[in-house]
Amino acid sequence: MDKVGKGHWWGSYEIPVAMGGRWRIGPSEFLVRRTEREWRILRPAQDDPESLGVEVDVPVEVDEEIPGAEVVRFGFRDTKPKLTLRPLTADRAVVVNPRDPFELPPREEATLYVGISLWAGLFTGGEHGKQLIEFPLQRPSDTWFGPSPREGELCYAGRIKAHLQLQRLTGAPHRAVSVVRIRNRASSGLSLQKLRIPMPTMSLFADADGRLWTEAVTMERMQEGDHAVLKLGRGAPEQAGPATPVSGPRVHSDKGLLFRAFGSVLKGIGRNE
Amino acid sequence: MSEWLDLGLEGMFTADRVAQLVKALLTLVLGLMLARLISTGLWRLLNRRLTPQGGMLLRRAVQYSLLFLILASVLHQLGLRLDVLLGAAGILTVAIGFASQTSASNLISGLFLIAEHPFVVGDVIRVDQLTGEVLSIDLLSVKIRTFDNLYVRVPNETIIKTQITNLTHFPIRRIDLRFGVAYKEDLQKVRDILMDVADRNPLCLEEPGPLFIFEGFGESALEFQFSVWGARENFLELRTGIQLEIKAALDAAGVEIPFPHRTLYPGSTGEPFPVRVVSDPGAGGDRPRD
Repeated sequence: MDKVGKGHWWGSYEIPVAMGGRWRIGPSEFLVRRTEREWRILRPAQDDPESLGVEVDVPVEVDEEIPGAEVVRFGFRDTKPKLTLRPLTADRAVVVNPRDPFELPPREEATLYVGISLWAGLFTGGEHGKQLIEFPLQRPSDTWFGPSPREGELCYAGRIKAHLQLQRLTGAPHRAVSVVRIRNRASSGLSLQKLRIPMPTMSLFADADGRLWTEAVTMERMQEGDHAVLKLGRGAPEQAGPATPVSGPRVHSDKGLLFRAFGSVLKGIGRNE
Repeated sequence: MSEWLDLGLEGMFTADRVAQLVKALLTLVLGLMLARLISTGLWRLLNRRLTPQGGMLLRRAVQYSLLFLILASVLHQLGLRLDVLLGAAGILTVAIGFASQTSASNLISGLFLIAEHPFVVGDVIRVDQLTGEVLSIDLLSVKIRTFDNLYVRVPNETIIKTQITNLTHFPIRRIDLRFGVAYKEDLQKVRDILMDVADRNPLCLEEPGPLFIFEGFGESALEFQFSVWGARENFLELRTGIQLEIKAALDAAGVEIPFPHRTLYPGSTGEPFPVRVVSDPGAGGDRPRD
């Protein structure tokens, strides 16, 4: 095992031919098997959605087939022993709800802490190797973020509610913490029911304890409405302490632009008309 | 007769005339090649910025316009007067118009269809009983690929006259499931089970949320509608998956989904229905009894 520290599941691993590895990260379990010409990824069905543990067995003997497991195979002329695992942010924005109805009066600001599910990316070779596969460590539900079913964006629904205290957020290896600062500079109050976090534009950092963080995101609501100016912080947030970068953003940053950041529950659209 | 023929042929194949013909032929061939090159080049240049339908329309519009100009130039080189030709074409158009009303109707419908833009190439539409993916929108017809992989040509006039449903216009869709449970069941419990099934299925949108509507006291069941929303690309997977999960969840909770049944009641003043039990004589059982 190589470059895997305390509580970490990411990093690079050496896997000999005819051997493999097994990872259990929170609710997600997957196995990798290497032969001379093939990498085989096996993903058994998730059995415990609330699990928060991390188990890594590398190298270990892995069967070619596991009943009920999803199998994906990748062919190579000659496989290399190095396999790299990297946490990735979600491929769509994530919508989170505050734990309780939340009002932000005019010219006030608040900081919310959100735990957001991550994806795992498997690469052969070193840090810049070829990507084999990526998958969510816990598949979030789809959700719609917009004022109506005609206008909006398909997002993921955050499983974890946003908290005002970091201590209330349970640490989990398959989730990253996002610090969201909301500044209401408008003259009207902000009723916060839903919050859109632009995960594909964010990077991941690991603190000394192996907890993953994204950059802090600041949302400034300048005038009445659902839109806010989005600003991403540089590096890990100060709450993380000393942290090292783990993976970069998927897409170019949206920072400094005006985006629909807040939403309310859609009403009256589900009627059987 | 032979003299006239000789004179005619001689007149037709003078050196000038041959040069004129060759020039016209060259203009036609080179023009056609150039038209093809220009339309394809323009399409490649703008393809990324346009929708598939827009790209196709642009390519055809450029190609046909250039074709018209080339033909006009060729006819001009052959010594034909275009104003006379266009006048004759006008009269011809009226004659052709009467003879080809259906084609003209389709053509005009096609122009309306392109202007109205009810669907684009790649959309999935339903026209009457036909559902499929739009392959192309042409001036006379719309080409559709059905999901059992049949190529269907629907005249534009039919499209204009018929109700069309575009199944992929909006990014999310609602799935309406209508069923019932036995009268003995607790509807609140049923509602909770269904909401839990929707919550556990990641393809089922959290927002807009699932919908439970009580529809009435049916003949054999308490009837309701349960609706969930999903992304349009997951529509089929969600529709099948959620129904399998609902059936499994209701079975696990012991909730009965009844089939239609009838209770025969002779009335309070009527005699009970006579019942006759007939046993199998070959089995050596009891005698038949009334």
